[in-house]
Amino acid sequence: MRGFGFSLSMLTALGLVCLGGCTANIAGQQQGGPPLGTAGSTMAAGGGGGAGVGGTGSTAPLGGPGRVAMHRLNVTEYNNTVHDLLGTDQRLSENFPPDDTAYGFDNVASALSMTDVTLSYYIDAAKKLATEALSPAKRASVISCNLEAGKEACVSDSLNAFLPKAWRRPTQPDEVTRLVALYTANKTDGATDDEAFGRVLQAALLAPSFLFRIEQNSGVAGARPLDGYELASRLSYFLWSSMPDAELTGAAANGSLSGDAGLSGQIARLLADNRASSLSQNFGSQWLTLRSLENVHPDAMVYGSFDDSLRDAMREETMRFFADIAAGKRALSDFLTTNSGYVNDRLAQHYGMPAVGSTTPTFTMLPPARGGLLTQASILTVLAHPKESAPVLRGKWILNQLLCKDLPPPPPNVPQEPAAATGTTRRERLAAHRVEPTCKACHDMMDPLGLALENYDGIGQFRTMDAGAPIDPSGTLSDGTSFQTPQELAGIIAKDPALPRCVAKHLFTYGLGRSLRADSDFDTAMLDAATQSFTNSGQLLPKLVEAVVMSDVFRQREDEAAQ
Amino acid sequence: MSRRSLGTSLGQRGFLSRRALLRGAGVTLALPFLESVAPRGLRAAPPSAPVRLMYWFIPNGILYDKWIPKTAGMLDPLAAPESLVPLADAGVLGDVNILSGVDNLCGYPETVGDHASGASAMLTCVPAKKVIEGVELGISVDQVAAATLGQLTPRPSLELGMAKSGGVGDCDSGYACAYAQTLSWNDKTTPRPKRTDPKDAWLWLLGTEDASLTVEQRERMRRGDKSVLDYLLNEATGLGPKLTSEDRVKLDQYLTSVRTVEKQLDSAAVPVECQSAKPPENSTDYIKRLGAMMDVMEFAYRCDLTRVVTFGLGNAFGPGPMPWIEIGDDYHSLTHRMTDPGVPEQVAKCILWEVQQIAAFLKRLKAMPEGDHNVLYNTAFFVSSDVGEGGPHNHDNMACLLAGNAGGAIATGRHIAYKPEDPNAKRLAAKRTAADRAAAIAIPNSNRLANVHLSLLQAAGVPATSFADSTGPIPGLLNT
Repeated sequence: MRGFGFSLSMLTALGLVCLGGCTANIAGQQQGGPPLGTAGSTMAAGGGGGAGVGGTGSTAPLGGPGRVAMHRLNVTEYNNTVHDLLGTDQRLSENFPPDDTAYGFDNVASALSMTDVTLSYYIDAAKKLATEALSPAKRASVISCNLEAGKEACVSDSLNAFLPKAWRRPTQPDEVTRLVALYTANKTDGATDDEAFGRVLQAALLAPSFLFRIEQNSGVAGARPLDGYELASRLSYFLWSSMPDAELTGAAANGSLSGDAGLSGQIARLLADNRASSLSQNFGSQWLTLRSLENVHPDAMVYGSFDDSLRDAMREETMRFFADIAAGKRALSDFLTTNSGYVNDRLAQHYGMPAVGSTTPTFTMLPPARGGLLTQASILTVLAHPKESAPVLRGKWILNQLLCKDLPPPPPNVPQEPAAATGTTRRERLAAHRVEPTCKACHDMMDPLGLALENYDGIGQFRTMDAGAPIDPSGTLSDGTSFQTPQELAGIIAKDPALPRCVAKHLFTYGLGRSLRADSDFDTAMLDAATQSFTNSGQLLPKLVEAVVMSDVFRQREDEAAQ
Repeated sequence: MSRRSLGTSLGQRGFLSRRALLRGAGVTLALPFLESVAPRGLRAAPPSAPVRLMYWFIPNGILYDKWIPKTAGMLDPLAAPESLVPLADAGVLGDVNILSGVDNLCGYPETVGDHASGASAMLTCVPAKKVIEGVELGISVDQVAAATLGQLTPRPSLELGMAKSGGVGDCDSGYACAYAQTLSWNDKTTPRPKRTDPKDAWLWLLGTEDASLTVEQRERMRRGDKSVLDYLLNEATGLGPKLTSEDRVKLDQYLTSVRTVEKQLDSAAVPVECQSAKPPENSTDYIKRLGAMMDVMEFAYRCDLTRVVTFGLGNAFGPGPMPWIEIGDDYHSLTHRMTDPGVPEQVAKCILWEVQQIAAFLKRLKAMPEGDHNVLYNTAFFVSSDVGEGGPHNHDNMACLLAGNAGGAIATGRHIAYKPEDPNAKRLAAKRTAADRAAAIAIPNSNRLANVHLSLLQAAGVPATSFADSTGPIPGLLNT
C-alpha cells in the first residue's frame, strides 16, 4: 500500500482549509487577462512555496542551458533497459525501493539517490541477469565466440560488441581491458569460464556507466552541445523510458542526430514506436496524478459498488484518451471538452449509460453529464475523501496540474473547520468558511472550480442532490466570468492559454529530469517558445514533444571548469 | 539446541569474524561463551547478550489526555491512561518507560509542512532544508548505531515500513517527498530507502548464499563478489575527475554504497540453523503484511542478523483509512477535524490500535528467552511520531515511548516527566521561521529528543558522546 503523501495531502486534512498569501493581488490580477490563466506565474509545479522551489540544486549559471545531474536509472528505466539490452522478460526492478519523486515525477535526476540498500537490489538483479544471459537460449546476445576455446580473446571480442550498447556510448580499450582482467582474476581463483564471464557481465551491469546516465564534464566552463550519444540517451529515455536502439545509436555515431533534420526525424520515428507508450504510462499517469488511483480507499459503507474492476475501468478510460493525445490523434484541449470516451461495460454501468457490450474499453459517445477529463471517474475518485467528494482538492488540482497556478501553502494553525451540521450542503459549508479573511483569498480561487464538480460524488457517480438539496454547480471565477455547468467550466479551461503552457512546463520537467528554473530567463524563453509551437499546432502533443527536444535546454548542457 | 543456549551462544557469535566462523562451521555455535573473543572496552560490563535498538514511527501524533499518566513515577497497570491500556493488557507496561515533555523543536517547519519536517526530524533531530530538489537533513540515529553495532552482525541495519515511498508532488507544502517518507538517512543528503515487502526483507537478511554449498565454494563466491566490487570502486574512482562537482556528490553516494556492501561481505555469517527458515509471504492486506513484518523483525533479532531496526506503521500522513478497526476516513484527515462530533473518539481508536500493535510485538520479544533474561530486556525500543498532537501540529511534548532495559542499562515501568529549563525555546520555534527555530535550538534545554537518542545509543554500547543537537544524556533515564 502506498502512503497518502501526495501533493494534496495537506489539504486532505480539512476538505477545506484556510490559505494565507493568496493576496487580493494574486486573486484579482487576472482582470483583463485570461480568466484563470497564469502565463507569468511561478515555474515550479507542485504548490511549493519555500526557498529553493523551482531550483535544481545546480550552480549552473541562470543565463545558460543548465545541466542535469547524473541520473540513476529509475525502476521503470531499469526494467525497460535490461529488457532492450538483454531481451529478458524478468521484471527485476519491480521490487526495488520506489524512487523518490520531485515535482510529481519519479525521473527527476537530483531526487534519484543511491544507497547500499538500493545497490544490493541492483547486485541481486545483475546476478540473475548474468545467469540468464549465459543460458543457451540467450547466450548469443552477449557472447559471440567459443569462450572455453577463446578465453581472454573471446571475452574481449564479446565486450567490444556488448559494452558500447550497455553503456550507451563508445568505450575505450582500457575499459574493456579492465573487465577482461576481472575475468582472468576469477579464472585464476578457480572459477569456470561461465562463472568468470558471469562476473564480467555483473560488473558491466553495475558499473556507473550502466546504472547512471552520465554526461561527462569537459572541464571547460560554459554551454556546449551534447554529443550524439548523450543526446540519444536523453531522447530515448524521454520518449521510451529506455536505452537508445541501434538506429538511434547509429544516428549518434554518424553525426546526423546533431542536426535539426536528423533529430526531428528520430523524434518522429521514436514516437511512432510501441515503446513510446511509456509517455502515457510515465508522463501521462504522473502528470494527471492517476497513479494515486491505486491507493484510494473509498469507504465500502458509502461506496459499496467500488471494486478493482471499476478501478481498472476508470484508469483505462483516462489512459487511453491520453494515449490518443500523445499520439497526436486529438488536441490537448479535447481532453477537457470531448463528448466521447473509452468505456467498458463496468464503467458504463457506473456512468448510468447503456452497456457497450464489451469488457474492453470501447470508444463511444457519452451521455450529456459525461465527457472530458473533469468528469472522468478516475480523476474524481483520486480527488476525493474516502467518504465524500473533495471540492477543495479538485479545485486545487485544476489550478496546479492544468494551469500551473501555484497556491501558497496553508498558514500554520489552520482554524478548525466548522462542524458539519446535518443537512448542510457542501456549498454552504464552504461558503461559511470563505467568510474568514485568511481563507477567503485562496478559497475564492479553488472552491468555485471544485464545487462545479459536485454533481460527481467521491467515486465519480453522477448525482443531483446533496444533503437533501439540489446541487448547484454554477459559479463565478475571480475575474467575474460565470459558468452554469461543469461542461462550461471545462470549456473555459480548454481555452485558457495557461493550459498549454502548463502542460509544456510539466513535459519539460519530465523530459529533462529537472524542473525549469523559475529565475532563469534562458529556461523561460525555452518554455515560451515550446508553448508557442504547441499552441500553433492546435495543441498537438507530438509537436510539443518535438519543441521540447529541439530546445537548447534539451540539446545543450553547461559544463564547469576543471578543478 | 535449546532456545536458551542458542540465545547465549548468539550473544557472542557476532563478535567472531565471518572467516573464523566459517572455518569452524557447525561447531562454533555450540561453544560456550568465549572471553577471548568478547569486545573489550565497548561496554562497562561484559555482555551476556547483544543489545539491540529498534525505532518505531507512528504517524499523526498522540492525544495527551489519553497517553500521558497524570503523575510522574511508577506506571500503575490498574490506572494506565486509555492509550496505554493495551500495554498493561499484554503484560508489558512494566517493561515500558513513558517520557513526557520531550521536545523535538527541530521538527518545526518553516511556516508549514509539519508532517514532512517532523517525520524527518524524528531520528535525525535536524531541521529539514525546505526544498523539493536538493534535500539536506542529517544522519539518523539508527545509522549512527549501525556504524558500530552493524559490524557485529550479518547486516548492519534493517529499515522496514508499511507504506512505500514514492508519491506525487511536493508531498508536504514545499518539503521534498523524501522527508515525509524516509526515517533513516545515511548522511546529510542521502535518504535510506526502506523495505516494504516482508518476504524480500527476510531473504535479504539471509543473504543469497546457498546453504548447500561447501565452505570452500562459499568462500570462492565471496571472493568473486569482492572482485566485482573492487572493480566497481576502481571504475567509479576513475570517473571522478570527468564529472562536475555536483555529480561527484552522486558518485560519492555510489562509492559509499559499494564500500558498505563490500564490508558486509566480511561480516558475520548467518547462523546455520537460521539459513533454512521459511520467509513469510508478502500481502496486499495491511494486517497480514504487518504480521509478516513483525515476523521479520523477530527473526532478525532471534538469529542476531542485525541489531538495528527502523519501522514505520506508515509514512507521514499515513496509514490512511483503517477499515480493520472501522475507521473509513483517512486517519490524518480525522486529526484535523477534532471539533467534529465523534472524531476525537475515532482518533483515540486509531492510537489505541497502534499501541496494541506495539504491545503485541513487545510481548513477542519478551517471550524469547535470552541469557538470564529475554530479548525485550536486551533491547532499547523507541516509539515516536512526526507531530506531538495531530491537530495542533506541535513539535514539543512528543510521543516518547521506550521499552526494554537495553541489557540492564535502563530501569523500566516509569513515567518520567520533563520540563524545559527555558520555556522560551518552544515559543520561539513555534513562530515557524528558520531563524526562530535556530534560536530555539540554541537554548540548551535538556528535555530534547536528541538527548533521548544519545542515551539509547550509550545504553546499547555505542561509544557516542553527542548526537545532533544533544546537550547530553537525558537526565534520569540511564541507570547510574
